[in-house]
Amino acid sequence: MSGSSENLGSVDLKRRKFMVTMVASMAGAGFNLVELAMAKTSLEAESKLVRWGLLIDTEKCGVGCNACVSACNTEHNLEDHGRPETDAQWIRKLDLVDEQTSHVHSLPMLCQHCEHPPCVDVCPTGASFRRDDGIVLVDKHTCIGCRYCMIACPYKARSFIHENLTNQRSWSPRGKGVVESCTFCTHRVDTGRIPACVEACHAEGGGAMTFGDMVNPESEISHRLKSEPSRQIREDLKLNTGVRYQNV
Amino acid sequence: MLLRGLACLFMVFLISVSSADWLDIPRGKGEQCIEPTEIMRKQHMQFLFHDRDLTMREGDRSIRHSLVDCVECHTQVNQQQKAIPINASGQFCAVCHEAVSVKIDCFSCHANIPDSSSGYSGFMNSGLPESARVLMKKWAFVP
Amino acid sequence: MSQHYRTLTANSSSYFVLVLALTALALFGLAAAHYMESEGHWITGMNNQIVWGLPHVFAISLILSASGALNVASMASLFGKTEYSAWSRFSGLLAISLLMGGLLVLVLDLGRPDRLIVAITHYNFKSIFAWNIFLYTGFIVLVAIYLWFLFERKMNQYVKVAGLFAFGWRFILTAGTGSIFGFIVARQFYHSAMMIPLFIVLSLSLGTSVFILVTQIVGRLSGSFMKQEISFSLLRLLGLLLALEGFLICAFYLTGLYSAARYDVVLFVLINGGIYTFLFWAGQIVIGTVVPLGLIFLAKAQLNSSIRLVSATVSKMIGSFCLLYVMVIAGQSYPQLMFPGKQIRSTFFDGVVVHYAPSWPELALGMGGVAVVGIIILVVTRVLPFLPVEEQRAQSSQ
Repeated sequence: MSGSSENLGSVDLKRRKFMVTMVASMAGAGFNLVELAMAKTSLEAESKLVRWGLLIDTEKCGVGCNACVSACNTEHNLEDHGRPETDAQWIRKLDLVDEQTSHVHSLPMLCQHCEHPPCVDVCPTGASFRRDDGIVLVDKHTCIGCRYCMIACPYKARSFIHENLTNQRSWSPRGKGVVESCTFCTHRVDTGRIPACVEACHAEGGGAMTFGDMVNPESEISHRLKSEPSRQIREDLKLNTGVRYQNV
Repeated sequence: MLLRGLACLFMVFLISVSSADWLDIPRGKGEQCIEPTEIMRKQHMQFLFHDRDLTMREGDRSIRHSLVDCVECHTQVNQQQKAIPINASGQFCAVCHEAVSVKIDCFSCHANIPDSSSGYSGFMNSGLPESARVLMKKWAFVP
Repeated sequence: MSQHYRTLTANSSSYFVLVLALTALALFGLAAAHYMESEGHWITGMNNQIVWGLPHVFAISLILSASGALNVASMASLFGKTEYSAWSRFSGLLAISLLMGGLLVLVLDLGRPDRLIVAITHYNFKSIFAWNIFLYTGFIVLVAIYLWFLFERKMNQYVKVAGLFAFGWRFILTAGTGSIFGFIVARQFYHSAMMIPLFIVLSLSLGTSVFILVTQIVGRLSGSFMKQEISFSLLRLLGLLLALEGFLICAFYLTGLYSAARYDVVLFVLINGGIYTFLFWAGQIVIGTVVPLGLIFLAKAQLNSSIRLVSATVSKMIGSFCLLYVMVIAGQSYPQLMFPGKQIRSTFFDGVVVHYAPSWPELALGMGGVAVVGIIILVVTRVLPFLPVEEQRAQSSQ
């Protein structure tokens, strides 16, 4: 063992990982089988054949309902520091008041997970990136905190962490000095669950949110996108967003 | 160049440290780590970097070298059975890192105590709620 | 006739007082940056709405000045204006130190300045920011080579080539800095092709002002003043650049009024933007344009020449600072266009004009950057012969 360990460069981590996975699968009896089955290996994880998307029917989205926002804040422990200007918000409710008719309706605004995200284009280090399954993320290990992505986002979807944080959730690492935004709850989606906001919208809210794979013809979201009218916000920018709205 | 040189020096130093075994490192749970101890001492950062990129960039949740699992196994509890942060002085990470004066940048963002003791519903350990699975089946592509 | 150069040999107490004061200012700026880094940016006036604040205004001012400070060198080496050639060295030094000061402010304002190594080793070449990292470092390298060719007699013959490269590079650099804003589709105020020519001309005029002012200060310290006719020909150049800048500002705002997407935010700045409207009209137009134009072209007889030089350039610099402040801050303060025809309400300051109050650490950081520029110049000119000799004779014979 010590002989091979001194030869640091030659350790083939890929092969090691493969073998480890094999051994782990064989010894799988002791594991939570569902968990293991749902967890995807790198071969099948977020293949290009998947594009996660969210359809929001604003007719069902109640003015004053905040279920999705609270669920997100709890899931990722977005603490309230009593400083609204600098506190992070990954999802927020917008009340739209028509300038002519004063009609009010409400919708949640979050990272739109664009196919052509401006934040990814402007990021100097490549920390802003788009996974093959369409989810736009910040690699907080290479983010230097320049905030250019926040300038470039047409949806104001990103927050900068302005203070030292403690009590992070293990599935949602967050820390001072970098930019962050909605992750579409990758930790859930990767293991076969739906994002916290969507779950809450159905449990406590108006059931306005439909999450799913936009390119799978079997999924409800792609059925509805085909058969019902919907729109993107700032469609003039041709970003092909992953979040679509109805009745706006 | 300079960085590589420093890294080599550091490795040489670590190797000497690991053979000396003069540090009082708290024991983890269970019999054996997922890798032999002497490999872990020298290469834990490579394992972590490698698997971190797999999870973050490719969504692979089947990884074995996960920081969350390090914290899960290697965190000690105090007399009130409360978890002590793994990077606190005298704890698993800090013992070596303080001895060799290498700053740990992990825990400014990552949780330094296990979910099981932080009081949060440990997401990765909880099974899938049936309702969520039904919704997921209905809406999405589930293998 | 060969040109001789000297170091700054001022032993007056004013030199040391100045160096000490600048060092204190720089250290204070460094302390402020450390405070910002260890506490997090919540202690500053910047927030999730105004993400770039006073430090960025300072940094952009310094970077644009850096490019413009090379005017004198370019005119001497490329356009045969030999009367300026004695000041080529100093022009190059000023350019490098201004850029360093600007970059220092920019870097120390980052959320993770400790990760500077990441910015140097990871690049996304689609990012204009990433291009600018190369443009800035490349500028320093090119000007350093230019200075080397000026200093080394054997290389004197290549000065023109080096000058040409530096000259071309500075246009790309200022165009790149303008593009940081000009290409942003998300912010209606920034999204304009006019940003690029505007930033280029702004750098020429601002850099010329800084050059005139700094040569006056160095002249006061060393007794080695720039020839008055050269200073005044630079000042007349500044006048022309100011007129050109005024024209581009008019074009920037008028084209803004012409576009449906930008109409509201342009009216906001021009008419009902509160502090921004005030800074635009009082700072940028009156102090930054009308006053210096008057001092340059009208007040010839009434004022002492040195006072004219200093007051015209200082008011121009204040004006440019106001211009950039309005550009950077007002452009973020005014709500982004998301739902045309709708008023937006939220807990995240959507649909409202966001208030920004700069904090002392931001001011200290910015001033620290300026102080670093001063320190570099005062120390380098003391050890290396950057100042032309005959200028002093010319001054004393007057």
